[in-house]
Amino acid sequence: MGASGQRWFGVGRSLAADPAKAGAEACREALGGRRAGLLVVFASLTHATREMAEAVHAEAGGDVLMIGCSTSGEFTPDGRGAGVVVNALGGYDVSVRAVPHDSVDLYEAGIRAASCLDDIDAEHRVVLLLGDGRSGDQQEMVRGAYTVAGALVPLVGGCAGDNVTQTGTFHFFSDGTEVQVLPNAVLGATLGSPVPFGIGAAHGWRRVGEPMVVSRSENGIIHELDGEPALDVYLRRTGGAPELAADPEAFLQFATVRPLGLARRTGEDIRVIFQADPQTRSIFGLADTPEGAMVWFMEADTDSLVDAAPAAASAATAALESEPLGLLVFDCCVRSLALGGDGTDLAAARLHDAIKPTPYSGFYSNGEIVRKTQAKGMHHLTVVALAFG
Amino acid sequence: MSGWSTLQLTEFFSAITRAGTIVTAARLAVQRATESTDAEVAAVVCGDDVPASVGLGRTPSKSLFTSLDPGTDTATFPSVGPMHVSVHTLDRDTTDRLIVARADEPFAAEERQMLQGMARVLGLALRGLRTLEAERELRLEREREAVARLELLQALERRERLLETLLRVQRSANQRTPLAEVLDMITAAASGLLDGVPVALVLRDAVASVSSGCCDTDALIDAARRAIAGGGPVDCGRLTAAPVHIDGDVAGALVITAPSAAAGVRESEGRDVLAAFAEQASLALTGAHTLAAVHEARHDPLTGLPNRALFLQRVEEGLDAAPAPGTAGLLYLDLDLFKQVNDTLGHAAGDELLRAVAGRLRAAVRDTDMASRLGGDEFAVLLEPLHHRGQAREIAQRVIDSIALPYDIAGRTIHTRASVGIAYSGGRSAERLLEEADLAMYRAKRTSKGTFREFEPDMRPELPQAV
Repeated sequence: MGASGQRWFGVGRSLAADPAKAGAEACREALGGRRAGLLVVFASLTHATREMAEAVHAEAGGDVLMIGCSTSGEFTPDGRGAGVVVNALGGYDVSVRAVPHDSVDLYEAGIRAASCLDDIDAEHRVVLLLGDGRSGDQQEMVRGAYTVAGALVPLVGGCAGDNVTQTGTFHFFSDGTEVQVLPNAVLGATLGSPVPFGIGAAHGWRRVGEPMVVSRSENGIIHELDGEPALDVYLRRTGGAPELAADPEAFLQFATVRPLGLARRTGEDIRVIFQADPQTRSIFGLADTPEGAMVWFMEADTDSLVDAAPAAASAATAALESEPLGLLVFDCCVRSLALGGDGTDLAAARLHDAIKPTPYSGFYSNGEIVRKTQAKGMHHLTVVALAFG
Repeated sequence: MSGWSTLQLTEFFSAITRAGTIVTAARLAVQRATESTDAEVAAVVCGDDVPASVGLGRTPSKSLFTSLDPGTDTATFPSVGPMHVSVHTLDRDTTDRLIVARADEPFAAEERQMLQGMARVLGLALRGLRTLEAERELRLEREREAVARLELLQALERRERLLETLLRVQRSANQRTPLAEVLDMITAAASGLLDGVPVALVLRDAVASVSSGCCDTDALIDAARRAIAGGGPVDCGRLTAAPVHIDGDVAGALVITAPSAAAGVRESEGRDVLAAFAEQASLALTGAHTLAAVHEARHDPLTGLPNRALFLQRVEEGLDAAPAPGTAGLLYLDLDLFKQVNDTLGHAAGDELLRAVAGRLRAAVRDTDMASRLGGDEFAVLLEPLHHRGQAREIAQRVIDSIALPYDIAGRTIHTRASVGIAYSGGRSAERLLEEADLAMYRAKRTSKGTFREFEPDMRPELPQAV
């Protein structure tokens, strides 16, 4: 299913307290009186309701493809906030899929989400994925999607957020008529165009100190580093107070901005640490950190973190052959913790400066997705941008 | 520090040992191979079948991959265009292979070696899984005899043990264990899997590591030379050898003695173990970067002589091989006046003197003897074989005379001389023998510098506590 004719991209935002009202307002602004082929909705957890999703869909005429997800905050050229952002796209060939939580394993979920690619025959295609960083190893989902997409079609997207509450996420979906609100789902949308799409990614973190070997780990839990209990090594090397181990909230705040980096052929994969077990002296990562791997502590200064957002966006627009019509940006929610309020505002401002006057929107995500040459799939503490030409 | 490739291989090991079916194992292999090399396309080919592929969509034509043979380095895929290709066979007995393709640049030697390691592990995993599937069928059919079933299970157990052992060695290699220990672990582990048959690693015409068990060194080196010359595994009498590579260049060979039929290890399994451990040794050596590192691990960097550790190992081996008393001897040398040279002419001159002494020492002993620098201005020589004590005295005197000739260093004529202690083999450890020669040397130094003395039991109490 799709549309044809002039391509366009519109963004609307509303911070209205009532979710349905905010959804309708944001959608109206994004459409600007036009008929959209696809809506991409980002809504804060407070606004992630069925009423909101139905209001957005109805505002666009009630017969339109829609994907979307809950966030840990959204941003547009108007700034950042917690409400509803609607992106409306016209002139692209589009097809969508939804895979409910636990209906299949994540690898199969990736295959099914990306199978919307089968419906689109265009010179340039991209698969936009909205995953759920809380349900297992999303790299498996990306691997499944890659078996469908292959070398020719890039995968890009992000994982839904939950205002960093660790409670659960929601996805909004419509394949034309019915509107669905699905907890912890995986959604896919294929877009086809006669001109290329642009993709960029940046993180701004760098290695610090000597490497360590993950001498024992299992399913994302790191038991030992260099043969010592992982928690002890972690606190010693980061200078963390021993009391942190017994205070989950304080440990989360401390550890999320002190990630580990996994050795890769080109650079490193970042692993966010978010929890510790003071009894077993282990630490928990958001994604698997395999036994035998070599890891570094990663650090970043405010400037390099701030500049990751404009860098990703500029790389995405630079890959286009034409003027950018719009961008979608997936910005890791943990970066906001590292940057603080002012730093996050600065990143948003520099992003705006880098690509103005192009319309864009993004959200603070729980994992970022890019699978193309030189990029493995799931990323963390990263900014990913998709530019539409 | 290990390179990224050995780490990737470790992750691959961990993942593949969890695979429960052939399709899962093949799928894991193509995923990990592409992700670890930033490649776009990969496939596993088994005969005419392609149990898994990635990068060309869900159902690419099998012939795209089955047409790619080992040695192919470029290929053109529909729509994607020309790509760099690396093809690796999974084992010696079949043409099953792992194919990986990348657009941006050719695969480096280290990457090809890592992919070959992955292919080898996949081959072993697939064999194990096929055995397991065969065992499942066997149970359903209930046609074969219990003996055959047991054999299959044992074979499976041995494969699992092989994978576990490889994983263990791999982890040690990553944990910055000294290279010499990793090499010893490889020969010991391969031997352990083959019911204790001797396994040796030969590098540049010398045995770098050997598992416990008696081996004919010349035969080992000969087998290794043939494998190096042939560029692949060779059978040489009861020995089988497979080449070992450093950064893609042949550097030596891993050699095993053919397991005896009674040992219950099948010939094909011996070959599999050899191939897997040869890959393992190649990776460990490549991780240590150069042959120099191999040499340096066991040699004194200043004089090029074997260091204390290697010397003691050789003495121990010599004593084991010829336990009869008096068939080997040990010289312990200490230079007189060395400190004065160092203090008056500087360390550079001191170093030059040590190099010159080492050269004369090497020239003064026989080809079968082994000279070593123990540290500082102390040297030792293993005399083997020894037919009578007069022979040792003769060599000791020759060494003393040779070292006493003047040296021309930094434009100056320098004299030094050596005091030498001699000890003879017979029911004592290498360490103990060295200690006795040291005591004898001490007596010579105290009573008459520049002479030799033979160890006598009453010299023992004379060792001053402070020395």
